[in-house]
Amino acid sequence: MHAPLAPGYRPALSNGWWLSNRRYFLYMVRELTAVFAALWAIIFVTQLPQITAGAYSNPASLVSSPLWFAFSLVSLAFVLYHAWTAFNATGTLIYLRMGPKPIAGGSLNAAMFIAWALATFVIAFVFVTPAIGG
Amino acid sequence: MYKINTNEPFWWGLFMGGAGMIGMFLPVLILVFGLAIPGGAVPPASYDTVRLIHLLGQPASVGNLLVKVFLFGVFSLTFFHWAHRFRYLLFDLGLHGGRTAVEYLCYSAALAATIYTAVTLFVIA
Repeated sequence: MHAPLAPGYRPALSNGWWLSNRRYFLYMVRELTAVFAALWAIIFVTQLPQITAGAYSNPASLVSSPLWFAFSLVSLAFVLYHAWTAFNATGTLIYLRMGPKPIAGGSLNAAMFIAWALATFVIAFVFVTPAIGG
Repeated sequence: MYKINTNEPFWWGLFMGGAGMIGMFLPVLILVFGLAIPGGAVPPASYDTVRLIHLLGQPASVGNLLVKVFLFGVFSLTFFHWAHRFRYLLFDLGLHGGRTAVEYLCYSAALAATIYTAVTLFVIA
């Protein structure tokens, strides 16, 4: 799928390059957010049949355990770091124009955060309000 | 001879879609199903079994089909986001050999997780 390295070429980078500098380290932490996002998602999916069978009311189930709570807390921290850095990069990644003037990057970032707050509120409201889908 | 990798935009597209899904929707899902409900911060009536079956289980209704399509979209793109990022994470950590094998493994795992999620959401749960 990718072009092979040219013969005789040896990458000069050491395997610990990302430990040499705070920015490199944070870049790798950001890469790692994907691992926690996918792990949380796949574990949640494996628990769905138990959840619809009442796992949240059963103290012995995984989703009622302190382990799940702690893992979710750690995952949330990583996912929020992903969200924070992604939304703050929006204005750098996307160029939009209204009329002759480009929209300031800061405004695009702010729009992402407002959309995020709205989405969070609406989804939490739907899942947590007993009258919806009860 | 150098060859342009024409597959890359496809995987990058899934990756970028997943980045948006993870940022926008995963925090609130983790907050609700990982912290608020297990932590007892929401009324028990919101997660009693009858309601959760109506919301996430079988038989599928119009309302819970929307929930399931939403969850499927978020989770499947999350898996492909992981696949692409983890592949490059391994390369960044100094993996030089077996790159094609890593690519197949990562994207195959994401595909398998996606199929598993579809079956769980639409057939089993």
